[in-house]
Amino acid sequence: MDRHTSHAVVGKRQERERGASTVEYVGIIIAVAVLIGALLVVFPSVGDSLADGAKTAVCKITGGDCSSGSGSNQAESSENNGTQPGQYANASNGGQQTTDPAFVSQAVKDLRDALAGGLFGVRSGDLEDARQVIEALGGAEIDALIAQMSDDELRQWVDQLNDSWLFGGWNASERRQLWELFASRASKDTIDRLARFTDELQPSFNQVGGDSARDDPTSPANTGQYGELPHSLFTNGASPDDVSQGAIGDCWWIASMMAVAQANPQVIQDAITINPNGTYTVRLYDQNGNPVQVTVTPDMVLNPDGTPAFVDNNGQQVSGNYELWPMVLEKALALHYGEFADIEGGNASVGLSALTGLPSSNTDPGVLSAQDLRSVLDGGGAIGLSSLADGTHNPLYADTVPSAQRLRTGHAYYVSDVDVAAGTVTVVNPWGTAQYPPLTLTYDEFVSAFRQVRTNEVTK
Amino acid sequence: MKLRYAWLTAVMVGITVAATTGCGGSEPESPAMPTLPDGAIMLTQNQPNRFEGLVVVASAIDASGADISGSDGTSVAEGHWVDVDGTVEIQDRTLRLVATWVDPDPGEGDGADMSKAWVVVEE
Repeated sequence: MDRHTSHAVVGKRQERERGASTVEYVGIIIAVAVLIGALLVVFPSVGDSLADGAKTAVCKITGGDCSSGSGSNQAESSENNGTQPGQYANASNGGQQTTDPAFVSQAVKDLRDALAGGLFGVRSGDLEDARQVIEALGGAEIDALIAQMSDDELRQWVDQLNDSWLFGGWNASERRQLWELFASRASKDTIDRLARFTDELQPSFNQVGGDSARDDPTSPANTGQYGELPHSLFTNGASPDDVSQGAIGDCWWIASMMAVAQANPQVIQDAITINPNGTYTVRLYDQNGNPVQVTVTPDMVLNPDGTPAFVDNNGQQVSGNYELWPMVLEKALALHYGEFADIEGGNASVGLSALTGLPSSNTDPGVLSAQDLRSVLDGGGAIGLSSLADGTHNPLYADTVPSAQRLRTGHAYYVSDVDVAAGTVTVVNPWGTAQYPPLTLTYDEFVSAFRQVRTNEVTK
Repeated sequence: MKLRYAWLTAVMVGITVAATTGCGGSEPESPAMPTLPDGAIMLTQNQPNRFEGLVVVASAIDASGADISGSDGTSVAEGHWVDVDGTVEIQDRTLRLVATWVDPDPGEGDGADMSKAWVVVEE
């Protein structure tokens, strides 16, 4: 083999190797493309994140405006210039109605940077960065920041929070912490705007009454509307007489609230904090007894005539002024659970524990004597009850009993009094004492008339 | 080997049947929702509903009727069992029970029964 031949062979070999490399590279590119394609099919949100990342990168290189939907931002900002954000009726300025424009601009930039994510989309850490941006702001600054965000940006943020991708998205508890910042600080306008993109600020009620109610035009699920009632949070503290159940299947929660309000009204009062923006932060407890904070706005689900659709004040409101604490607690529970329909069906042991953070004890009625029941009440405890599932053979459920004194099946009650000497137990229907006065039964009647007794300490 | 194929076939058939009919048997058949007259107001079992200045609640709902009670919200409740197409007087208003629907799967929790009763307030 001469040098020329050798060169030629080497050249051909190099061509073949070049050809082989090209084939390999093309193969790898195709494989990667197929892999990315498959990922996009399985996890569509990754595509959005990749596209956003690419757009941001290109925009940074070209020096353009890197905010997505910037046109609509400018439009919204100009619309909001000089306007006073809406407030809830009982909101105070709280010293937060001043903003530093430079600080807010930097916050907007930091937020957009966080939500732009990286090559692999918006990860949990990016969402935490975004939360920290919000946490550093006062109410008016949050309002100013959100006013500069487009609807597309807010919608995308919510999508990112709800993303189920392996390293993206947040769980409900993490999202709650973020929404708490908005709910406890921002103006009504800001909260209303955010609530267009998530149900985690205002619990939805369009599933109340079950599937069978969905198509009925008279169902509160269809006729209800959020609106603000003239109100005080408390009038002379919390009392069971402030409460009557409305058109939602949460008798177990209503009975629990009434029982705790009787046992220790201060527990109810201490559970609710008024925020400067007019919202209420409620301390509930999860199933492990850990406190959870849930902030609700003071607007409630109303009937077309402006009365509360769900829990009401037992006809006790003075001059049309509602005592809002029962509505606040009911709405907070719905938000904690997810939506109003999620609190339909339950038992008072869950409700009592959610209010007190203390475990409940469930027993058959005959297990506890009248003296035992009296001791629970004397110890500052609360007693919830579950009525029979079938009252056919119990005279206390019979149609011959006057309506206001008749027991109802599948319903929650609570014990308001026990007279050991007389051998009687007084029970209360959560539909409200004005219409259904407390009912005093003999101890034997009591034992025969209920399915479960649920006792709970209220304070340690 | 034939036995193994027989087992495999049986398992496949079982999975197919379960997938098409639903594991654990079929869902309880829901009774048909009634056709309602104009103005009928829906009451869900044990849930006090406010309308036309009244607070009204239906309980013990079954196919033949319901226990309807209520008041103006500030006075003691009145009412009684009503058959479908029967009436009850509440606060001098006449309510006619026009239909009921029984929840086929009411669940166990207090307040979980979503049975319905529809009433019309007569002029």
